[in-house]
Amino acid sequence: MKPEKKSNLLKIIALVVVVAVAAAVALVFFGGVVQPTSTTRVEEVRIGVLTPLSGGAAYFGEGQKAMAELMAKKVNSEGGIKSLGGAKVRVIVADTEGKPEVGKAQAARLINEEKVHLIIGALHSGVTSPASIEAERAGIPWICETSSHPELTKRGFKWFFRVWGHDEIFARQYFELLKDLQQEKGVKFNTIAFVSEESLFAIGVRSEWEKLNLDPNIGGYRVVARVNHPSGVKDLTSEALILKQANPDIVLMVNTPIPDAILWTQTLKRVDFFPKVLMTTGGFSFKAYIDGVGADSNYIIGRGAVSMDMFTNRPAAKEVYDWFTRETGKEFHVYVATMYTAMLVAIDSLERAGSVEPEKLRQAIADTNLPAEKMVLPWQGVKFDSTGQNVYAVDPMSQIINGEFRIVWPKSSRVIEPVFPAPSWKERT
Amino acid sequence: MAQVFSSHRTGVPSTVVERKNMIPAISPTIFLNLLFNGFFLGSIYALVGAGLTLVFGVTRLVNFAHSILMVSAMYFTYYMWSVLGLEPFLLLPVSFTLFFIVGFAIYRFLVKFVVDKPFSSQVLTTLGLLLIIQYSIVMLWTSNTYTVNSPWRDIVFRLDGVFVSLPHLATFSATLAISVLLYYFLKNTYTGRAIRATAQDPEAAKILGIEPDYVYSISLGLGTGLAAVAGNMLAMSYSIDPYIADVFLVMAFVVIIMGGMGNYMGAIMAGYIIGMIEVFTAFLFMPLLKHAVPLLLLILILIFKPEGLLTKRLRD
Repeated sequence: MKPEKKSNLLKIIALVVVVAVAAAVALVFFGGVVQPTSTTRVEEVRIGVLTPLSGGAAYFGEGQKAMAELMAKKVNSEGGIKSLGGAKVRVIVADTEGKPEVGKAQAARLINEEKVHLIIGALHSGVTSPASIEAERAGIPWICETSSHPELTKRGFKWFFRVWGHDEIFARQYFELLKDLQQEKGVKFNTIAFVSEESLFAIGVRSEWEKLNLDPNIGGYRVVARVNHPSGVKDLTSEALILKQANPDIVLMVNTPIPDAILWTQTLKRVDFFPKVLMTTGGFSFKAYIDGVGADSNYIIGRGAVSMDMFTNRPAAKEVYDWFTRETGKEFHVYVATMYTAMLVAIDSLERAGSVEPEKLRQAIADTNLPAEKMVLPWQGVKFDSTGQNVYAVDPMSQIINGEFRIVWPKSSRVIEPVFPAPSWKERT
Repeated sequence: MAQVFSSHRTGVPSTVVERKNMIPAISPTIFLNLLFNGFFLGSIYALVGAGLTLVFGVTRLVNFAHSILMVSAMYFTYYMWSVLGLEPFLLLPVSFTLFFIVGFAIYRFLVKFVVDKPFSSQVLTTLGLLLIIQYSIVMLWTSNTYTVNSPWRDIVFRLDGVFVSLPHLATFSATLAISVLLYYFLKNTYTGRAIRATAQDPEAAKILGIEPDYVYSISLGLGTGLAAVAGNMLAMSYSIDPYIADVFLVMAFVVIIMGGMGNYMGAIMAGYIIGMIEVFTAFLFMPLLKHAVPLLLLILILIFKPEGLLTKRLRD
């Protein structure tokens, strides 16, 4: 290399170094100034909502979208976020299609293009899991409304909060109910079968049930069948025949899509099998399920249903229920309720933070302490532990009796005597 | 009780699961129940596949909108039942005729313009049609799940543990009747012969005075009519939402490839084979594998007999 060229190259390198050092110094000294602070006027707060608006779970997502938008409308009509000078809340809803890869891409879009200040989502555990990584990387708070897979709050994420409970907590309820009701009714069950479809949620629930059953103090029932089938199936006769031949006393069944829940019920009736107790979660917890199978839905026990019993002596919660059904004409299902709670946490946190700066907002969410009176579901409130999990979410167990979800457990909340064991199909006619 | 399941179905600690047999015992009663169920499921696949393959055999058009037309027929059945109280069984000829006209119109107003165009244009057109119909349904009736709660649905004939439900029996009977009628139509009527002639050589058929557009529109009408019959039958035993089309589309393609693209009888046979495989795989091995095994079989067929199980084409 010629000396002249060498000296030019050195000059360029020196220039680059000087510029880089100057930029770094400027960032250190002035960085805080360009970031939004509590004194910055905020025109609007953008809340990204990730939910399935197409695909098999669109019914759930449509309700969630309606609730999020209704909440924003209500806040805006009452003067917006007061601590932000009346900033309006804008909800930007993105469709996950119930697919992990779509949810992840939509989360990235909400963060990078829509510049949302926080995200609420994404119903399916299988979608929330990869999509929330985008928010964690970007340093944007994520309030998980529904996804109940236990691992979600065990990842050590700093920006992830879950208002709903998780399946470790919920799974235990099933065994506690079984124990309580057997004692109460003087019956003893020995055998159990587990049924699930293949979503991350269903697999999570089933593995928690199976883990608990291994403990003789909690479960200890002899497993006589396990039926894991694809979701969105056209026929379940073979699966129902497996159950009929195994003849378990207890069947624990998790199925997310409502059509699957309807098909299971119709098929069990066709093969003429109903266990002494059928306990479910997922698609069985919706009014559309009861509408689909009518009286055949009776005696199924499960969690996650919105029962009118929840509103007894809780007029504020009933008001929310009435307001939503009146304004939208949609079913107020449990995912609508969790979306309401997540929006409540978001708005409360924004008010307390008085800022849309991510760290301040994150801290405000972490400090959330909402009382039971503000809850639409019969929770004790919302308060997050160090993993971001709400410690107050509970889910009472209900039984379908005369075509309605009626709370039967815990006993303190019971409003009607449970039918236990359930009658067989023949005994019902 | 232990013979009912085996640990290969479970993957959980063996202390909990008794391992006596790897394959569950199958009593004659269970076998018959599975067999009858295989006939039902096979009928649906056969009807959906036969319609799709008929259209392909004649027009060389891969109709991605086929399954959503079936779902539209399910909605039609639901509304006729819920509003007018008409039983799905009685609607069968109405559904077929109405959707024949729909298929005919789809050809005349849409497909006609792409039938000679490259494959990509055809795919985009029919895929576009699928999305338009699917989201129109979502806009009109949301994503709610609907069920035909007809008292007929719950009628089950039982004998010594063997059961056949009325909707399943009706589906099988209708499939059998329609397959035979359509076969007769294609073999023995002028239009049927014109369809086969066009499938064999469109240019030669044209020289002989057969108008391709007429044949193509009749074919699309017939294919759509078959999809409607499948939808009509399915509405009695399956709940309805806009997205169940996706569930059937994949299997319809497996059926027509397995049966030999464009082979009407091949599609019906493949429909029953897949129905049986699904039902027996789920019971004997693992429900999770029931969709995978037909796909595995498809791969083997593509390797060893790529022309499909039946090589005799519609045109022959």
